[in-house]
Amino acid sequence: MRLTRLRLRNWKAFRSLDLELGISGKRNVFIIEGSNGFGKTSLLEAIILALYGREGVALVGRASSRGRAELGYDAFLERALHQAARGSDASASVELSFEGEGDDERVTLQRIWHFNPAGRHRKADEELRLWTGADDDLVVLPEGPEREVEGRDFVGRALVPARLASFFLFDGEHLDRLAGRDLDQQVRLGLEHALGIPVLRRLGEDLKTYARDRRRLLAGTAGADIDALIDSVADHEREQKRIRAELEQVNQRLVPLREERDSIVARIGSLHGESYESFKLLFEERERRARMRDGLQDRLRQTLSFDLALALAGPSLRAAAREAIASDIALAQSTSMRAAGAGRYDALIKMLSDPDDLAEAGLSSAQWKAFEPRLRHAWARVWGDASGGGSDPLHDHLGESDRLLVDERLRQIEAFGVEAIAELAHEAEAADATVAGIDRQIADQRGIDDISQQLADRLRETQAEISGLEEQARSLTRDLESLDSELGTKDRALAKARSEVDADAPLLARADRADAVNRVLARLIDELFPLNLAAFAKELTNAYTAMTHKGAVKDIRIDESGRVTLLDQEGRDLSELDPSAGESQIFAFALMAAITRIAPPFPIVLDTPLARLDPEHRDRVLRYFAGLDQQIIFLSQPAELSERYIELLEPHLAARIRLEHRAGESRPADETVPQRRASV
Amino acid sequence: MSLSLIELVRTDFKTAKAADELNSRFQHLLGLPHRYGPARLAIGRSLGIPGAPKFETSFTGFGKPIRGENLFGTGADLASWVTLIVQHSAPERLDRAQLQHAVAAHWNRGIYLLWEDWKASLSDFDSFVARQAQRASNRRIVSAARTR
Repeated sequence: MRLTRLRLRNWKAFRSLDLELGISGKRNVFIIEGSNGFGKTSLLEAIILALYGREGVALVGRASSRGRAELGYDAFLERALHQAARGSDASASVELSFEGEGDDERVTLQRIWHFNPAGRHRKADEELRLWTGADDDLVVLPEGPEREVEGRDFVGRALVPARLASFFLFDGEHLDRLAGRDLDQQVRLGLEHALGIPVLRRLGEDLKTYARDRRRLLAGTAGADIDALIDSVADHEREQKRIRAELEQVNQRLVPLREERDSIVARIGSLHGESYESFKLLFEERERRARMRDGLQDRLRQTLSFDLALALAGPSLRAAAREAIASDIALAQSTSMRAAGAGRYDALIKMLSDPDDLAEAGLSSAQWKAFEPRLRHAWARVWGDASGGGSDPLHDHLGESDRLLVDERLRQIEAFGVEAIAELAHEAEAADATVAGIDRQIADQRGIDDISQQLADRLRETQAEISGLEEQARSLTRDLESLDSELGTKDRALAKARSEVDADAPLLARADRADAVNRVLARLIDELFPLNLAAFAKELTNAYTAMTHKGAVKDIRIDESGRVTLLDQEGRDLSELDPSAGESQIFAFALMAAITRIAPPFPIVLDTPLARLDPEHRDRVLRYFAGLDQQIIFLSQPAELSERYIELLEPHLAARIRLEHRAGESRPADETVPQRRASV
Repeated sequence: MSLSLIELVRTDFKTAKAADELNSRFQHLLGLPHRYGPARLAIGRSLGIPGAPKFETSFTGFGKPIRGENLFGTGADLASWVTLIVQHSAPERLDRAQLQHAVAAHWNRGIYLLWEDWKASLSDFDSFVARQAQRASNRRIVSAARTR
């Protein structure tokens, strides 16, 4: 693509400018020269900001360079508006026309910036228009925020993307900055930009952030907790299994012990004949009483955890709570009655205040007005307005039915407390005493004879062992119940988390896909750089050897880590030699040129780039750039390009345009080369 | 924002770690099957004392949480517990976070009071239960049955 026309309106020193930059044959070089302040840099800035808008501000040295206050895009534009154009309805515009090889390869871009009467520019005060094709068809851009994005994409596709613009459109300051870095950094920076690696990296970061945010979002509901929950459920299930196994063991141990007890009882019975039945009954009674005692003890435990715990809050707090609930109920009723009363009062007043009715009742309007407030007050009292209205209920967590339930529960606790616990305690104590009494009766079997005494001793031991194991079994059963309850809660939580995860599966899949794409990108970034090294190193060698006059460097190599080696004829590495400032600039020039060679064709605009170079280097740089088959626009000071250089460029020169400044405006002066066509 | 009983069902409540360890010890001593047993006794015990409990947050962290539905039950039980805690803090109003803080403080104060009661009962279950029952009603009862 070549820049064929540049039109400015109210841009910096240019009130109006229309430059046609047609290329004739192989003449590809344009020189636009002017002294300081005549608008050379303004032309570069106009091209950059027209192409890239707000995104281009980083490439505009005077809006963003170090050492100057950061002006920012809007502030820069406010200064860019031509002095004479300031006032109401002020606007500035830049129009660029590009042509490629084919007839339909045409793009025209116009960007208009509007300013308010105070000369301020805001983000929305900007228009971008694009035309393309042989018939200059308008490119339809969407309205709203998408407009800028689509416009930028179009420019990137049809012309050159913003990330590459700094290799085509640059000034001496930019070149200095690049030359200030070491060679490895320059090459890596240049090539990575040329290949779009920073864009890929940003994309990778964005994908990573997307996946992380997506998962974090899910973690807030279920995602991250689910693993911990699964582990916890597994731990509980293991513990449950262990307790069940232990309980089973205890029960297994009880079976022979109970058999032995029955056997001992049977033998004692056989020794004592008729008393066997009563002895057996005694044991059965003991078992029954023991079970009853255990049941009562369980109820006592329940009572401790429920009613007693609630009752411990004490009668005075319960009474205060019940009073507050009663007050809340009254307040709710009063509020409801007031609402009903207010509605009815309005209806009543409407009926009573009818003028005919008042006249019939012998009341004047003034009398009614004096009477009505009294009536309102009396009405309010009747409907309960005097009952301390206005405060909120204390227990606003309770709904209407909750209030009654809580009141009832607290009343029950009031009645329950002592008697219930005492009764329960007495029952449990009595059951315990009964079991103890039976144990004594069993023990009394001792002493009849040695054999029965031995049997009774064994029976006591066995029974003690059985009691111990039974208590152990009860304790394990309680643990198991507690565990079952916790496990039930966790199972429900897990089921909920799983269903949430299932519902979120599409989002998780997207996060996974983002990760997968990111992995591909990382690989692409790793492979993209080395893949292009050889071609790039060749272009760089060509450009550098053409521009430097020392001639020592014959080959430039770049390894996969991005390390640059400058080799001489004998293959010796010259990279360690400290280059002069001018030589560093030559390398930077070569780098820029190499990148423009591997990038899509686009005009190269250089703003006073030769200041640091000695005459021979200037000569070589000019020759090299002029020899490229690309459009070159030199923005130059008269001192930078003496007639000798102009002569050198002459075979390639398409136009030489000299800017002059008169009456506060810059404009092209008389033409010096026939190909220039400009109108003001 | 006012309290919502529905929300409190799923709210986690916890107290100081040391108090929670004492809670576990009580669970064992009283033979109670659930952690909420001693926790409820402790909260009830503290609610029986006028004045807001002090609660230092610079201790060594929190103990294990108990869900609202377990700590206070559901329905009338949950509503009653919340009513008593709110009443104890009156006239100050509580939002959910303040209620969680109040529960942590009552649980913490209560479990240490119960521990004093246990020592005063000479580590005797019957005597301990009788003491609590008496405190609950301001009346004296005979000693409760031994449950261990």
